[in-house]
Amino acid sequence: MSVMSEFSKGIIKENAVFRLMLGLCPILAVTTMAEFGLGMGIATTAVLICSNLVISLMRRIIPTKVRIPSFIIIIATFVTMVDMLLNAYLPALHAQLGIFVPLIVVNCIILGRAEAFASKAPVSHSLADGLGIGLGFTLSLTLLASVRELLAAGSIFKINLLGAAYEPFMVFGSPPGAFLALGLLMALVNMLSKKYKLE
Amino acid sequence: MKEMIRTGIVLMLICAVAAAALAYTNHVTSAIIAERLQQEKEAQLAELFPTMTNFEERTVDGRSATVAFDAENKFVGVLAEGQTEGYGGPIRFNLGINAAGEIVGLTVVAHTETPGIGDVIKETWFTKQFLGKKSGDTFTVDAISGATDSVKAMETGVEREYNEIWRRFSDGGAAGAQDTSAPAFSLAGVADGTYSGTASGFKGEIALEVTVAGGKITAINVTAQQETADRWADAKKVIEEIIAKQTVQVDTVSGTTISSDAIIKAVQRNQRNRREV
Repeated sequence: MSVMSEFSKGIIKENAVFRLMLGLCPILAVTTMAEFGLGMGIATTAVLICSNLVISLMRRIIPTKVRIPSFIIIIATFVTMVDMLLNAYLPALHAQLGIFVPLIVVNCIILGRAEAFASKAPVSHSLADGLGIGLGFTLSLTLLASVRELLAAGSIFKINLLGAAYEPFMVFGSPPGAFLALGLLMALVNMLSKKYKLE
Repeated sequence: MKEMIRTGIVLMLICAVAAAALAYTNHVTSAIIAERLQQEKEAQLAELFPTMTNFEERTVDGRSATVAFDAENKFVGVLAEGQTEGYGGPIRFNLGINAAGEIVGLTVVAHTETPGIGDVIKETWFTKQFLGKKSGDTFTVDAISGATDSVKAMETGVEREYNEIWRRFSDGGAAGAQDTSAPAFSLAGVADGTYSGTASGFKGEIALEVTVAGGKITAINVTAQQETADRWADAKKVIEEIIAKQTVQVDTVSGTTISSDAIIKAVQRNQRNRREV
């Protein structure tokens, strides 16, 4: 596979949320508002790219027997750095994402890409893979969060679209609504990709 | 065996590099975060106590609080953290009390009450009910159906913590005030000779000898110290300043505050020792 296809596969074909269904816990928790979905997506992407890069570079050094602890240390280091940087430079986002930033450590997308891809692939492919999967994840999160925000508050990115007369669909702001919205979006994405042969 | 050692060494190296990267990031960000927290605290205090111009952390009887003062250095209020046992676990809140002993601010900082039921205690309309209460008042508020335990926890908790805080800080926490006024430093009437003094530094005792000749400090000789090597090199600039300015009112060196302070204190103390002789 070429570098380009490693990148593009993450967006639809192997989309982490709608296809692989990985990392659903943070998805359900943070996608109440579009900006949180975007913020979480970018934070996860940053960690994913860094960890893919480092793990790919070190793939011949890391002993097979302790590869998982090594991956976790590398991932946890980047997550903690992102957490500190967010706290210092984007305090509002940090306060909102709260516990879900440190929890990126156990996001299965990142460990999954490390184990299944970066530990076996050259650096350029790993970087492309991290970027693609990360972009797909960010887009999915932003899309899901936008739908939920629109239904629950009538706005997207805090810009009111449906006017004051809109009666908010409160359930979409709560965790059950997250499942509903995710299921509906998943069906829609499947239907569209079948229709337009995006496979 | 060989493989085991190799595995261990690789893991150790990964950890070491990770620790170094984290230490560096922390070094870069901690100052920014601390400054922001300070600003947030300042804004919070200014809202509670409009006449406040400066504030100080004070500890009385094992409880610390932020004590606010106005331009004439008069006590205007105190902000302290309190805790109570709620329905779902501890509830932590910030309590602001003005100089008249009235509650002027109550914010729930952390809680684990049931979402949608007990968590009303964090809402402004709920906490607002405690505002204006003072010593001797009843701390009861409107009961909320379904959230009895959470509300009761707040009532007893706020009352208890109010009393605890006010008992300690009604005078502005004077008992916890730090003595910042340095004793006047004068070498007049000090006989020529060498004097010694000590103070505790960052990592242990700093001992030094001060040589006085003709009413002036001519030399300061450090006889013992265990400070961090590179920081100590910076902190030693304090010694040169003390000799140059003939005073202990010198600036400390950033990053070496504790070491610098210790040098200043040691010089101060040995001057006091001399008086007693």
